[in-house]
Amino acid sequence: MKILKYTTLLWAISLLVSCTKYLEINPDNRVRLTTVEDYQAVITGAYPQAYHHFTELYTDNVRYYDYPSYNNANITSWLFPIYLWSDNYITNNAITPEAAWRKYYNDIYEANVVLEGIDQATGDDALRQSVKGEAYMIRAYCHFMLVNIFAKHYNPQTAATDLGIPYMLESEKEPGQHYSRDAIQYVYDRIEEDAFKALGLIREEFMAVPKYHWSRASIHAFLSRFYLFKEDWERSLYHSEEVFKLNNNIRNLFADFDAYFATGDYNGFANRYFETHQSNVLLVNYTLTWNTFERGSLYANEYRATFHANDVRGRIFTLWSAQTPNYMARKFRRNLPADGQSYADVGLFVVEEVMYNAAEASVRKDNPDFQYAIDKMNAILQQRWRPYVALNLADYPTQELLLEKIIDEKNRELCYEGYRWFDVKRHNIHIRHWDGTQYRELPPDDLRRAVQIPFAELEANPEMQPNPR
Amino acid sequence: MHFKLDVGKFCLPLINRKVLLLMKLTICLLLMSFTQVSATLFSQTITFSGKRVSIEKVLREVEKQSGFNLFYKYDESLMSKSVDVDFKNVQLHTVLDEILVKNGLVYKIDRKTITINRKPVSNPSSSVRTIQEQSDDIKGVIVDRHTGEPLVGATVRVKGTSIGVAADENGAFQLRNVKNGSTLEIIYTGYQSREFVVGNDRDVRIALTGESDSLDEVVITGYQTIDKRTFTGSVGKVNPDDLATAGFSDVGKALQGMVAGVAVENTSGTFGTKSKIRIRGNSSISGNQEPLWVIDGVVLDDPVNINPNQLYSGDAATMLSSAISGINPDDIEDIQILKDASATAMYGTQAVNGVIVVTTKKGRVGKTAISYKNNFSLAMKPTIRDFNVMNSKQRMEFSEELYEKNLVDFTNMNSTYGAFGKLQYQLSRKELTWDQYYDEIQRAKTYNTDWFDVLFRNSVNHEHSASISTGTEKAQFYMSASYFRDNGQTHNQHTDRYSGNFRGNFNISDNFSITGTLYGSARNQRLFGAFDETESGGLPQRDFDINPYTYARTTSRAMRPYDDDGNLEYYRANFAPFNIIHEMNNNFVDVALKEIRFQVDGLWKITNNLNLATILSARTTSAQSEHISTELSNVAQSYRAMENTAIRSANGRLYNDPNDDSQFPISVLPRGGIIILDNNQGEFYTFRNTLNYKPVFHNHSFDLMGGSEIRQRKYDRHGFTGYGLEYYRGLTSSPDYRAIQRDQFASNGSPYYGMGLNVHREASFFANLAYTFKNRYNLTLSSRADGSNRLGASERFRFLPIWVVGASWNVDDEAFLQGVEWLDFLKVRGSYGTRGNISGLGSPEILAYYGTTTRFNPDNVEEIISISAPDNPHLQWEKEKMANAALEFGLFKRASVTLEWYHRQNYDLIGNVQVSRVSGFSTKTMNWADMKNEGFEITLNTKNIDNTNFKWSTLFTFGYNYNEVTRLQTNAAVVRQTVDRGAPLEGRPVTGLYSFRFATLNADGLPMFYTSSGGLSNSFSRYSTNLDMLQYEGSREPLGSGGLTNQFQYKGFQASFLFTYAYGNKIRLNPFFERYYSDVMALDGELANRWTTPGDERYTNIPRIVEAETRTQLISANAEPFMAYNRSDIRVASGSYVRFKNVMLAYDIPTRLIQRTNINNLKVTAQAQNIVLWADPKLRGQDPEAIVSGISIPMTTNYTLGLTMNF
Repeated sequence: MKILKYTTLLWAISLLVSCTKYLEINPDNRVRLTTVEDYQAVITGAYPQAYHHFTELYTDNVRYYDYPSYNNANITSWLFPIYLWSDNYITNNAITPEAAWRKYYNDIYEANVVLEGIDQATGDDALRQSVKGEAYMIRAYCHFMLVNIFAKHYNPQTAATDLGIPYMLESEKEPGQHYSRDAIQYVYDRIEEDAFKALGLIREEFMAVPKYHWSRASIHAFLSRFYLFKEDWERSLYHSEEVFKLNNNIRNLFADFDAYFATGDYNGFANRYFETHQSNVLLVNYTLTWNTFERGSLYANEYRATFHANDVRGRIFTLWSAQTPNYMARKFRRNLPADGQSYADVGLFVVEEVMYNAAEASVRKDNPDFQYAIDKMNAILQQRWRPYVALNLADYPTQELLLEKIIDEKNRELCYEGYRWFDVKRHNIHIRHWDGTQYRELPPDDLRRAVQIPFAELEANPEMQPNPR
Repeated sequence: MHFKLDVGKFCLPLINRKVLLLMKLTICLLLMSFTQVSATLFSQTITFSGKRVSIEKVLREVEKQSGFNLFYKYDESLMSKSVDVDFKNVQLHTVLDEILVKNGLVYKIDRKTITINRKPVSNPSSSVRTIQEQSDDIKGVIVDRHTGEPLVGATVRVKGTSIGVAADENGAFQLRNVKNGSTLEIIYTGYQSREFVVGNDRDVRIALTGESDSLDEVVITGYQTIDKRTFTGSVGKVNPDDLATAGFSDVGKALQGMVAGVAVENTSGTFGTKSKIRIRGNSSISGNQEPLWVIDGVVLDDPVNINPNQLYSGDAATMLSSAISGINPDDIEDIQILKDASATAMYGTQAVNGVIVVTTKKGRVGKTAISYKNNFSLAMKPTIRDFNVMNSKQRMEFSEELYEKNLVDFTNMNSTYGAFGKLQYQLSRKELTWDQYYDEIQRAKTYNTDWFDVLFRNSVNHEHSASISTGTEKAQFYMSASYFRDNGQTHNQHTDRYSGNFRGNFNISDNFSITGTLYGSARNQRLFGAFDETESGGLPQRDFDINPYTYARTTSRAMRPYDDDGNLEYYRANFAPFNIIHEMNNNFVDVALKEIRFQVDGLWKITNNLNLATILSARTTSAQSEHISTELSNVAQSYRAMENTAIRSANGRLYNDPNDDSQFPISVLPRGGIIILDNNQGEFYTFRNTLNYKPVFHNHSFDLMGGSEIRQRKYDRHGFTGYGLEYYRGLTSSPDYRAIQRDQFASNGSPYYGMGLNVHREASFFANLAYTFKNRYNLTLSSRADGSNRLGASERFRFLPIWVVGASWNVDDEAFLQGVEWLDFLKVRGSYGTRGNISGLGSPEILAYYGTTTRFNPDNVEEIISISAPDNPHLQWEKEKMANAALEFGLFKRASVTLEWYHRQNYDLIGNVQVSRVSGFSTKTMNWADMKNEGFEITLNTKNIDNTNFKWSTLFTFGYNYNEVTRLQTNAAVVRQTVDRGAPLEGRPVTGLYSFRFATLNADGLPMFYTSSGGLSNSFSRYSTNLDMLQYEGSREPLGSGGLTNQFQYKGFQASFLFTYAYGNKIRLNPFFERYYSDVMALDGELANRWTTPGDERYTNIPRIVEAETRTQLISANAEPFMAYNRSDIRVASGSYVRFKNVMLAYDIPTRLIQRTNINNLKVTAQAQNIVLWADPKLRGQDPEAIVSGISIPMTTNYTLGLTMNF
C-alpha cells in the first residue's frame, strides 16, 4: 500500500509539472509561422486574382439577354443587377463587387501578417527582404484596385478630400474594429510609398515560378498604370520605358491564328492565351473567370460587329455558339472543375497595356508626342491586321481624336480582361445597356461610376461612408 | 439455486461458502447453467416433512419450493432450533405461521420476497416515562425514508458497545447513557444500515433507506455519490423502467417528457441522429448547445467531430452524432440529469448545457439472476392524405394552364421533367401521336399516386437483450448482450446494432477494490444517399436529394412508379433518367460504427473516512460512412449525360480537360459510379484521481473531495471521393484520370482525398467541499479549473476557474415539524455559480494551414500557407452565471412536489460575427453576445390510489423557459433574420421567428408587403438591414414543455400513458410559392385557390403563377415576392402541441402459470408510440417537432410487443 501511495503522489506531481507541455500539442494540422520560408508560403498564397473582372459587366462590351433556366435562377440572372449598375446584387457569388472588396482586403491582411512577423522569423536575410518586397507590392496593388473601383477617379484638384478607401498599414489587433474611409490622395501616397519599397527589395532569383510573382518589369508596369491614373504623364511614360527595357515583346497573334485556327483547334488558343511562356505576359494568376457568365455569353454581338474583317482579333477572341444568344469569349481556358466554377490563368499585367499607357501619356503630357503614340499602336497592329495597314498620324489631327483611337484600340486588344471599365471611368464614356425592354443610361459623371461599398460592409461597419447616390 | 440471502456481517458462513462455490460454477458454466437449471417445481403450497430438522432447513425448503426469496438475519440459536414438521400441500403462509410465528419471529411477504425478523420486544409504556427525564438518554423512532412507516424490530446499537435495543411496533426505541458524539448504528433487513451521531437532540427521527430504492436517495454526479438529503444542486431523475425505449433503442430519444426543464425535440426519427435536448433553454448561439453525456463517470464523446451548426442539417455525418445510441438501454441502471451549476460543478467548463449521467448495471451479491428481454415493434407508414397537396387532376390541369399560357420552358426539358413534361418530350420526339398524347394526359389525371404508399412500408424492428448478474462478497459480475434490428421504413434501409458488456467488481482486500468494464458495440446501418448540404444565396441546397419522406411529400401525384407493364417508369432529373425506387436501390449510404470502451475504477480506502479513487477509461471508435452511387444511379448517369450538344453545354457535371484542346465537355465518369468514403477514428482517454475525506465531528460532517483529471480526444479522419466504382461488377474500379484532375483544379472543391487530425486535450483540477450541520444544514463549495490545448499558446486564458456555492436546509428534520403528520419531507435549497463552454469555434491564435497553389501546369505548382482565421488574443470561453432556488416537499405520503426557479446569464458568447471586411475577413470568431434564460419547473409525483391490488400514480413535469438576448454585436439583413430556424436579435429570444408582413395581393396577383414606413411594396433588397419591416412572431423554440405520465397497476396488470406537450412557439409552414413551378413538384393544395384574374385579390391570399416576363421584371426591380411570401406572417403557425406519445400495457404472468418452468417471472408488454398529435390545424400534417432534410425523417406511429423474463 505504501508503494501505491508514493506512486499516486508521483502521478500527481508529474501531472502538475507536465500539464503545460500536455496542453501544448497542436489541436490539428495547423502551422505556426516561424521561418522566412513559412512567410514566403503565406505571401505566395496572398497574390490577388483578377477580382476586378466583374467590372466588365458595367461596360459597353456586354449585352444581357435573359437566358433562363427552367427551375433555378441561374447565375446569369444573378449578374443582371450588376449589369444594370445596381447596388442590389446577390452576394454569395464570386463575381460581385462584394467579393472583390472582401478578397482584396484579405490579401492585404495576409501581406500585413507577413510584414509584421517576418522580422522575427529565422532564415536567409536576402530572402526575407525579397518576401517583404512582394508583401509591400501586394498591399499597394490591392489598395490601388480598391480605390479605383469603389471611389471616384483620381482628380488632382479634389483628391485630398475625396472619399477613398481605408488603407490598411497593419493587421487588425482587436476584432470588430470599425474603419472610416481615407482620402484618395492619402491612399495614392501610401500606394506610391509601398510600390517603391517593393521595387527596391524584390529579388527575382528567389521565385520558383516568376510569372506568378512580382518582378521588376511588372512593378514598373504597375507604376506606369498608377501614374497614368494619377495623371502624372511624365512619370507614367518613364516607367513604361523601364518596362520596355526589360520586356518589349508583343504577342504574335498571327502565329496563334495560323497554328490553331488553321487546324480548328480553337480551344488550344484559349487555353494558352495567358500561359507563362507567353513572353508578353508580365504577371498572371489563376482566377475564377466569369463562370457561366462566360458560357452564358454576355459579350455583345454589337461590339463584336465593330471589328474590321481584316482585324483577326474579332474572330480569334470570340466564338459564335448556336446555343446562346451572344458570342462567347475565347481568351480564357474553359475549365470546369468539381466546384462548378470556371477558372483560367488571367493576365494582370501584359506588355500591350503598357504600350497603350505609354501612348496615352505621350499624347497627354505637356509637350505631346503624337508620333510616339502612333508608333506604339502600329507596333501592335502589325501583328493584328491582315493585310496590315499602318495608322497614319494625319488621320488623327487632334489630341481628342488620337486619344479616342488609343482607348478604342486598347479595348480591342484587351477586351474582356477587365481594363475597359477603368477607361470608361477615366474618360467619362457614356454607356447604355438594354434591359430587355428599354435602354438604361450611364451618363458621364454619373454617381454610379463609383461602385457602392458592399452592403455587408456597411452593415458590419457603421463608420464606413457609403458613396452618394 | 435460489438463495438470495442477506450476506451482511451477520450472514451464515455456510451459505456464504456455497455462494462462492456457485459463483465459480456460474462463471465457468455460464451458458450451461442457463440450460441446466433443475426442473424443480414451484408452488404456493409446500410439501415437506421431517423430524427434528432445523428451522433453517425448513426455510431453505420453503424457498426452493415456492421460488420466493428469503431475507433474514442469521441468528444461530433460532435457526438451529429443531422442529418437527409434516406438511402436505399446505399453503405457504400456514407453513410460515407454523415454523416462524410460533418461534418468536414475524415475517412479511412482499411480491416474491419474504422478510423475517424477530418479534419486537414490547416495552412497557411506563418505563418510557420513567427514564425520559435523564439527560444522557436518547429516544427516537426508526422509519422508512420513503413511506415514513415505522420499521418494527430494527436494531439500534451504540457503536463499539454491546448496548442495543430493537424498535417496538411503533418503530420507537430508547437507550440509556448515550453520550454526545456517540454513534448509533441502525440495522434493519432490506435496508441500508445507517450510522447516526448523537448530539444535543435527544428525541430523534432516523430514516432508513431501503436497499431496493437506494438509487432514489442518492445523487450520482459521476464524480461522487451524494446522499440526496445533503445535496444542494438540482437534479432530475429518470427511472429507466419508465423510459419509453421500446421501438427507439436510443435513450436520447426516449427522454422526452420525463424531466421538468429538459426539452427534447426528436427532430429526426433516423436511428443514430441526435435528438435535440435542451436543459433549461439555450446557452449559446453558435456554439455547442448539447448536454454532456456521462457514462459511469466518464464523458461520452461523439464518434465524429461534428460542427454544432451541422448537427440538425441531415448530412450523413449526423447519423453518427449520437454517441448514446450505441448503448443498450437495458444496461442502464439509472439516469440522472444535472441541471444547475451546483450539480454540474465538477464538470467545469463543459457543463454549461447540463449533464446527463448514466449509470450502468453491475453484478450483485447473491444468486445468479438471468434476464432476457425482447421487443418487436411495427412502425406504421404515413399517408399522403395527411398532407394538403394537389391530386393528379389538379396537378395536370395546372401544367396544362402553364402550357396554354406559354409558361413551360422547353429549353430545360433536357434536365428535368415529370408527368406532363415527359409527354411533351415524347411528343416532340414523335414517340407519341397527338391522339396518344391527349389520351395519356387524361390518364395521368387518374394516377393519384400515394408516394408514401410506394416508398414506405410498415416495418418491423426487433430487439433482444439478455443479461446475467451474479456475485459474492469478493467479486460481482454482470454481463449482457443485445441485438437490435430495424428493418427500415423505406426500401433499402436498415439498421443492426450489437452490443456486449462485461463488468466485474473485485474486492481485493477490505480496503481496496477494482471495477473493470469492457463494453463493445457495433452498428451497421444503410440509408438512402444524401449529399452534404451547401448554402447558396442564403438558402440551403442539397444536390440529388432523395430523402424518401421529402420525395413522397413533394412529388407530383400525377407521376407513377410503375408503367402499364409493371416496369419502373422513368422520368428525368439532372439530365438523366430518374425513378425513385431505382434510385434508392442504387444510391445509398452504408455506415459502420464500432466502439470499444474499457474502464478501470479503483477505490482505495486509506482510512475509514479517507479514500482515493482512480478512473482510467479508454475508448476507441471507428466510424465509416460509405456513400455509394452505383453505375446505374441517376447520380452516375447525370455525370455522363451528354447525348446532344444542348445537354453537353448545359450539364455542369461535365468537364473540360484544360490539356485536351478542341474538346466539348466530356464526362469524368465514363464508366461506373461514385463512392464517397469517410472514415473517422476516435480515441478517447480519461484519467482521473480523486481524494475523498469524510470526517465527522459531533454535529459537523464534512465531505471534502479534490482531484485532477486529464482527457484526450483524438479524431483521425480520412476520406476520398472515388470515381468509376463498378458496383455490379464485383466492386471493381475503373477510374478516369480526368476525375482526379477535375478535383485538383477546384480551388475550394472536394479534393481527391483528404486527411485530418484533431487532438483535443484538457487538464483539470477540481475540489468540492460539502459541510453538513446536524444533518439538516448543508453547504457546498465547488471549484474547477480547466485547461485546453485549443486555446492556443496564451497562458492567460488556458485555465478558466469556475466556482459554485450551494446550500440546502432539510426543514423536516427540525423539531418544530416533528409532529406534523401530513408533511413527509420538506427541503429548501439554492445555488449560485459559474459554468463555462468550450464552443468548439475559433482560436486565439492564427489558424494557418499548408496548401498548394492551383495551376494548370503541374510544374508551376508552389507551396502556400493560407490563413483561414485571424488571431483573436481576446477570445474567451463562453461563460454563465446561474442561480437556482428550489423547494421540495412531500404530503400525506401521497404526493411529492419539486418547484424550481432558475436564472441563467450567459455571456461572452462566441459566434462568427460579420465584421468589417477591411480587416481581411467577412466574419470573425469573437465573444459577441450575452443572453439570459429564466424559468421555472414543476415536478409533481402523486400516488392517487394506493391499494394492495390497485395503484394509480401520476408524474407531471412542466418546464418554462424564457430566453432573451441581451447583447448582440451585429446587425443582420432581412434575409438572415427571417430564416425558418429562427435568428437572434437583441431583446428577443435567440431563436426568434421573424416574418415579412403580408398586406394584400395587388391587382396583378402578386403579394405586397408592408414596409417599415407603412407603405406597400414587394421590391426590397434581401440584404436590407432595415428590420422594421419585419414582424416578430415569437420564439421558434417552445416556452413551456413537459409530460404527463399516468401509471395504473391492478394485480399483475400495469398500464401507463404518456402525453408530452410544448407550447408558446411559432413555426413556419412549408414554402410553396415559387419563381418556377417544376413539373415534378406536388404543389400545395392551396395553390388551387390562387389568383387567376384581376379582382380575385378580394377573395384570395394565394399569389398567381409568374411567367417569364414578370420574372425578369421582378429581378430588375430587386423584387423577391417569392422569398418574402414564403417567409410572411400568413405562413406561420403555432408550434404548440400535445402528443399522445406512449401507451404501455404490461402483464406479469402469475407465478402459478409458470411454475413448471425455470422462469421466475415473466412479463408481457405492449406499447404504442406517437399515437395522436394535436397541433395547429394550419400545419396540415407538418410535424411541429421535425426538421426534415437530408437523412432525417420524422417519427412515425409504431406499436411494440415485448417480453421480459427473469430466471
